[in-house]
Amino acid sequence: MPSDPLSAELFAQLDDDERRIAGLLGGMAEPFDVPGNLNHNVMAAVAIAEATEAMAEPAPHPQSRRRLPSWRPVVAGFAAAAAAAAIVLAVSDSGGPTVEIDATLAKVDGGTAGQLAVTRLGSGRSVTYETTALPILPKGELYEVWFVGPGDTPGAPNRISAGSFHPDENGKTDVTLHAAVDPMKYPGIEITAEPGNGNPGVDGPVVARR
Amino acid sequence: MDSDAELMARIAAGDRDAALEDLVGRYSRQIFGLGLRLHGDRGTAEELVQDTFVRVWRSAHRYDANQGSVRTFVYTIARRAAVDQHRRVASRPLPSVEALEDTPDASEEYERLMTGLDVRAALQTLPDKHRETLELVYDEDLSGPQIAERLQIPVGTVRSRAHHALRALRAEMEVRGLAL
Repeated sequence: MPSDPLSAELFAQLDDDERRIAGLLGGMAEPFDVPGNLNHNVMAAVAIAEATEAMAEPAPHPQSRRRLPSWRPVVAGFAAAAAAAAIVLAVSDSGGPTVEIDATLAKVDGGTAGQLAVTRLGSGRSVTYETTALPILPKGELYEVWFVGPGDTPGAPNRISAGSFHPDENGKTDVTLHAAVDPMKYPGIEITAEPGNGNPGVDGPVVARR
Repeated sequence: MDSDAELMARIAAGDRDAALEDLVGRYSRQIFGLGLRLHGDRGTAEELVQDTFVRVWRSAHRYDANQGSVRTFVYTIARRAAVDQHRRVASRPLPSVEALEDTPDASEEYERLMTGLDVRAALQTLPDKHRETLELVYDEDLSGPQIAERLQIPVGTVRSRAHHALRALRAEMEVRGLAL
């Protein structure tokens, strides 16, 4: 608390608990913005993990107690979801996981920008993206994937973020994001280069799109 | 409103949609903040939140209220997820990971970090006038007269709002089961 008469007078009115809270406020974290779809994407990730495990469970073999295959996805964030995406692409469209988009993205300055697939798993979507065409960004900046709806403009955006990523130190991008967006309602896909300033909206140029 | 322990029991029983979503709502902001603090970028921070709650979902049946609070359970999982994440993304320079080390000092630092995030999250739930007053005091280091001038209200009103804000914050922290 700043040292001025207000603080002293206010402190005199506080009970012990309130003074402890005032002390805690002095040590609280810096303010930050949370992505608007953070919780939705978390629930989608859990749904995908659950569906992934259900797919990976082999049928019980009465005469064998063999171990599960070594490719059984370990649910640990992106690595597991990438394996799940590889599995679902081989699953027939019979009410199970469904590939909704499988597209080559185009760079805005010409050339291709890799392959992006959107797969529906349960109540969520897995978005896998692979490319070597995007340059490594300066420290603090990042690429962001957007689902874009009709009528989207800078002044009146109609888009939802599927998440952000960095190419690795070799300039390769091989990432899986989780989203709860319906591509039928948001059929466009764009990748922007964001400054990483905490703004949850678009703040940087489009570098690739479908 | 269900307590954290009641939510965890429902999650262990398979209630993914309502109970888990409720738990996510209570702790996702803090874990996102942890990810930002450790890794410095929003994408990796979001990955940490997702990873944490997938692990919470898978291990909910292991939660034992006699061993500790749900808060401790979730934050311990988040810490382990952050360690694994650090190992996976070690090629990227990371600002600070001392709080992830397996030492008593690091555990204290981690607890301080998470308490700071809990308080910030609790603050976000207050009515605008109360939150704004405390933010002006603690984020912008403004004095009572400076706040009064900024908001165009009497200094006495600033004091009154600050006092009410602290009371509201105490009530919110009690609801969240945060020890004072």
